[in-house]
Amino acid sequence: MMETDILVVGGGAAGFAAALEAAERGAEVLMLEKLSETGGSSAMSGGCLAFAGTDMQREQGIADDAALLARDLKQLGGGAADDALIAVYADHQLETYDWLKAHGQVFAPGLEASSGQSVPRVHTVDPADLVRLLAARCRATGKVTLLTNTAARRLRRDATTGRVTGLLAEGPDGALDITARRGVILASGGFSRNPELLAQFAPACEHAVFVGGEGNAGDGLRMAWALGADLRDMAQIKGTFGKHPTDELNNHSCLCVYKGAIAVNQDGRRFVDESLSYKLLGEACLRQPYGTGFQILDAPIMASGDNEVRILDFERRLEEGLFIEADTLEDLARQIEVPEATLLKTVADYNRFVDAGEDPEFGRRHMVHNHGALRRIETPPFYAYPSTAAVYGTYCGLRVDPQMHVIDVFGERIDGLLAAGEVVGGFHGNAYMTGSALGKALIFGRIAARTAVAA
Amino acid sequence: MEIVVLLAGVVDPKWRLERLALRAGGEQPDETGLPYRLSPFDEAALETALKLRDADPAIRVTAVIPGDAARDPLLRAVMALRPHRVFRFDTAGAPLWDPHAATRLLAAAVDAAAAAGLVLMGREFGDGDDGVLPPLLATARGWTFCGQAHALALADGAIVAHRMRGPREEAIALATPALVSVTNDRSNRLRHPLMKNVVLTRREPIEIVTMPADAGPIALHARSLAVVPPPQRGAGACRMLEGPLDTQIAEMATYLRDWRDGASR
Repeated sequence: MMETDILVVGGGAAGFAAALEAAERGAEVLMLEKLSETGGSSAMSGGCLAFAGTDMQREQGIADDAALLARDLKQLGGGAADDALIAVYADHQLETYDWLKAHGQVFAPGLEASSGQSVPRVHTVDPADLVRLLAARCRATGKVTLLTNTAARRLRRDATTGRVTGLLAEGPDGALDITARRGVILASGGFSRNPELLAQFAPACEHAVFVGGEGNAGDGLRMAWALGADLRDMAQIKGTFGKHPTDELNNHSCLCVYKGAIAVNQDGRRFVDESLSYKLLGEACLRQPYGTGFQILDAPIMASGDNEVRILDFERRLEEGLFIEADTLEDLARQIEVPEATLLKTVADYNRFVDAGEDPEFGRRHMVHNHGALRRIETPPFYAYPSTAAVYGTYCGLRVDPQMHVIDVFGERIDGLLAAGEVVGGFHGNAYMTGSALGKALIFGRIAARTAVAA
Repeated sequence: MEIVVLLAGVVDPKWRLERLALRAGGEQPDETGLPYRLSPFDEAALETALKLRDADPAIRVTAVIPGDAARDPLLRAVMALRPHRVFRFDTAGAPLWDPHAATRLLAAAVDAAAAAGLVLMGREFGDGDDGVLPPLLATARGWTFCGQAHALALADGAIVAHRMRGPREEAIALATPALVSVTNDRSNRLRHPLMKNVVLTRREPIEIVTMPADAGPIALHARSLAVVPPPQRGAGACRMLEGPLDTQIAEMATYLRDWRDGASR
């Protein structure tokens, strides 16, 4: 039998943010990580954080604030996202940015606009280093104990009050019965590594590539579900566009479209407004022949990439041989085996739309979301980046209130149970903003910790 | 011109070797269920052939993978790159680590393809070869041999092999038929298949050519096969610096000074 103030399930960014926040507020924390290494999906992510109104933005002349961020998130959510959770994110994101900096986090100097952003607000970190930093700060408090190779199995409730009082776990030495005096925080990630749950909730993603932390099997989701937890956004699982379909070494998407490229299918035709959230692009891509397409760009777009941002590091991928290159569009069409005449017409039509300022086919107006003027595709060499959709995160799960209490199917709190990070549903809604998942992990993790400490 | 690319495949390095064993009652390794990948040298040879095909539509490329059914996923991966022909040369379980037997076997595999003007293979052929098979095969068949080329080009209808010798790059015009072993290089990194072709290939039949009965006896028989565990890393050789940033910097500076002083002594 073990006892602690706060029990955190999952050793990714959300878990460590919660643990550190709780420890700095005087609580004793026990963390469980079922794998031998911490980091989870957070460490594998693109390292993008969506913050608004930061000193970095001000120094670079970018006008942004919490209200604009919230407006973008609402627009992306398409009515499906929970306004209260968006408000929580918007209200607490800047303090979390400052908190990270105060703990020694260094951001890459460049700021980029990516999926769902009206202005450049991607603040980039090395995500594995971010988790290591938080873990080191947790150790330094002397109040956080981490148990690796220890999996949470079942939540335990008080028979009389119904409050979650701890859980049963399994470690290298056998079963553990752990009591959490102030609450259990589920930060156990999504379920992109659980084929059964995916088949149940995301049948449209059957042909997508699945990437995500090895431990993302929906453990926390199922434990809370067993207690009657309500679920949110389960119908919103979509693959993210831009994953090379046959490269196994590079797990991140590449978003040339957000720098002005177009997306075409195997028939050589555009199929979507490329400025949309990459979740919507992924959804559209999976409906194309072979569930795949190509991002088509020219030399200036290639040169406009940003090697500090993984999803925009075009030149590195060019060096890795992932782009197909040709001096003419005709040759490019031959190499990617799309009809030459169709690709030529698609690019010519698109360039005409750019000149006219109107895209009658798909209504594209910007490079990404509300940001950036469109550019013609005309300067050789030309490039194609084969692209499909990858499910990096399930971005759906437990319904929570703004204090991160898990809510049951009758709209009532499950006392003693909190959640943060990818296991939380309701925040993203229909689409997804770059940097909001890793941001959500940190912001919601800290809020869950504050709630638990105050219990 | 007909180009034949011989591809060996290697056991996927991600595969755990605990299951490595001899076949029950036999003297050959049990390769049942082993996942195979192309080695970097295989990939270089294949990409070199595809580049020549791209440069001259008259060139036909046939890829041959010797082995048993365990190689079939590898075969499909190669088919997705659309050489003109791909087949598995069924070796009935004969291993390639017996050089003389392997030479006879590979010669038979090349013969099963069209009359080749050029044979390409990786500078090391599979897990059991240390580079002897390519020259041995060329010698056995009386073909021109060029080892460790990193690129081949067409010049006035002739094949020119490029290879590094020290700081110099050699360009060698080859009399055909020729066998060239290819080393990996940035310039011959294997392209990725189009998803369309990956999908289409899944539905295509696999061509299998059976080894002729007179391919000859196997000279070497294995008596035992064991996994040698990798050496243990020195305890404490790698650790994270702890504590405040200033403390970490000071510790790192001390370490580097000690290292410099030790190196200069």
